[in-house]
Amino acid sequence: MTALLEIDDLHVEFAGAGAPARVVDGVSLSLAAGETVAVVGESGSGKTVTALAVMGLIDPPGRIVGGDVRFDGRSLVGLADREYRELRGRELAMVFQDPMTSLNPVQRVGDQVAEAITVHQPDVAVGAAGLRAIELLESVGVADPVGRSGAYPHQLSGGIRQRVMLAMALANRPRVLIADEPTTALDVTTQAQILELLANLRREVGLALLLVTHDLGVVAGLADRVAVMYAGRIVEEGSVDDIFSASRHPYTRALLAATPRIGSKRGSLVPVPGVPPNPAALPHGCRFHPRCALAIDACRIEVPELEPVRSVPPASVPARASGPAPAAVPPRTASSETAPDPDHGLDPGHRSACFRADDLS
Amino acid sequence: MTTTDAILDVVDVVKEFPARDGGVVHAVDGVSFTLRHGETLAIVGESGCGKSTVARMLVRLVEPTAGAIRVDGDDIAHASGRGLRALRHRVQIVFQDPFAALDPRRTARAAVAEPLQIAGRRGDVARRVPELFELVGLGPEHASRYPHELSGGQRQRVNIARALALDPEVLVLDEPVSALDVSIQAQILNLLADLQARLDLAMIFITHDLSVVEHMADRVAVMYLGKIVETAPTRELFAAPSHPYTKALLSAVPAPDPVGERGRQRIVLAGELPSAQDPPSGCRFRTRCWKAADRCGQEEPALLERGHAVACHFPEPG
Repeated sequence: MTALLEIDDLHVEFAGAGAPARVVDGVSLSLAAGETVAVVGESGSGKTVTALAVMGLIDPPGRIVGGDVRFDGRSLVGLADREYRELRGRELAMVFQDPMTSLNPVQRVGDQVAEAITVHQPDVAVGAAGLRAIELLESVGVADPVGRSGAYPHQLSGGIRQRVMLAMALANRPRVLIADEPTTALDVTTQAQILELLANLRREVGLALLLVTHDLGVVAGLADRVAVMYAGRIVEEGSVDDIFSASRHPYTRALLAATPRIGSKRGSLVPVPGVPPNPAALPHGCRFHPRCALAIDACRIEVPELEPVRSVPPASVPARASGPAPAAVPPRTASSETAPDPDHGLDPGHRSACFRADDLS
Repeated sequence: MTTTDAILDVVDVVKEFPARDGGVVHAVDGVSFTLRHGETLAIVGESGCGKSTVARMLVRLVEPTAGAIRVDGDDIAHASGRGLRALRHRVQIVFQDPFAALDPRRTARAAVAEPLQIAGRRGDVARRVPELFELVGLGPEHASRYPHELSGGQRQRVNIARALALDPEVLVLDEPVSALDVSIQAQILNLLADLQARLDLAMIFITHDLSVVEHMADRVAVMYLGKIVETAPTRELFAAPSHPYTKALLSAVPAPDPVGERGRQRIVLAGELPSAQDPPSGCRFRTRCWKAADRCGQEEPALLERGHAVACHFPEPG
């Protein structure tokens, strides 16, 4: 798949009283058409700032200090405001956690959706935009769209407000939708409705979805690929199955062990000790090492890079050469039979930033 | 059940709020339950179901419109003055937002000492405050810190220490971990479970998050639009939900398991929560229920024992 959206070594800083806080520190991520990639992390991980940087919405004291964001091959960092506005809402759209603060409280929601159309398509007549707004509201599952389009945001429930936000975001048929905690403020039965809607949109119109969330349950049901962020960096990236059932990073594993789930036993939750670091005073080496049970000396000194994990444990390689392969070892390519290959058994789609990744297989 | 082993006995409590247009919002409409010594009861439901209003009535932050709330036989709903103050010591509450619940100008030590001072137990402060810090897993180094110098988890520990200062018999926890990150949530849930075992506390655990209930509660009461629709021992409720709303609620919780999620049939409820100002006739859930029949609109189902208590004319087979 070719990437529609590419985040390339992005660095974002926020100036403060002391040293600037490096909130996003070398994040690279790509998103293809029709794909859903989840960026997962806890508060302060930099996941929302990454999303805002893609949308060109980093305001002072924040600043992109390095790297690039490319949409359809075109570089977006440093784009003039006017050009970014043209792109935002038309090609790239975003929905936020709290629809109440994102909607205009004194404008009828139908007018807000219609305005989202006319801003980018000025030749659409006001009446036609109003009708299109009603269609859009209906398409995102708003019952009684005609009546509802005349309502103000405070007259609507949280779930309907989130649908109105989605209708605005989808008004110009964007190719990329960034959803930042789209269901976190909603009740669980409403959440189920919105998640179903997002899954349908992706299936029906090939929308590329960048889902930013702390909720591993939402990720498991919706994402194709997952990037786990901790203290400004991606610490692990892989398919949704890699991350949930074969994680090679202690933080991802710790997060999964700390996540309550229905059907698990009392006393089975394993808390992660300590607290996430302050972005203005990050620990040396791996940022997770002060909370990590597996940390070794190297982790305190050097920052581990995000590297492909070894899908075949190194120890099994000589065994393979001298006898029949154990059933668990996947078949190897012809080239690896003839010459020793340093990249042997590496899984390019699953990457982990941990010196002990091999020990977690 | 007799009331002798119940520490808390809630009988048919009602709370009505005046609506802006002159009408009445029926926030809690005839809720009854008991809580035994050392037991944890989870009250679950979505926004607007009345669970937080129930929590606030238990500590008399909200006056019940009708009904009785008895703590070991003494009615907190009708107490006043000195009697109310004494009852308040016995039932304490911890809120969702640990930052908002603390005075930004008071240190952690001052926050924990405050309930003792108000209760006229100044002499106990020097002994009791370090004890409480240790009990909730805070170090002596946290004592002089202000709320903004503490993490979210540490702030919630301060709030729990405050609530425990007067040795309550019942602790009401209103979404105590909902504002915390997952890695911190587990710390606080484990602390609460540990405290309950050590202090033999009875707890009311209010939450919208069903995935934490099994870690905390012995029994669960499910609320919808001001009423309890089902109540059962935790394991039973999760294994065999009987009310269609409970079933939908359980099926809507996304699991952190991609394989399970792919094969899963989720019950997606149609429509929205009706207004508590003008609830549907008969069963309140009938407007969103796939099993609703004529009878559900005419006759309100009572909360009846059918293996466990459920208020439905057509309960799911257990």
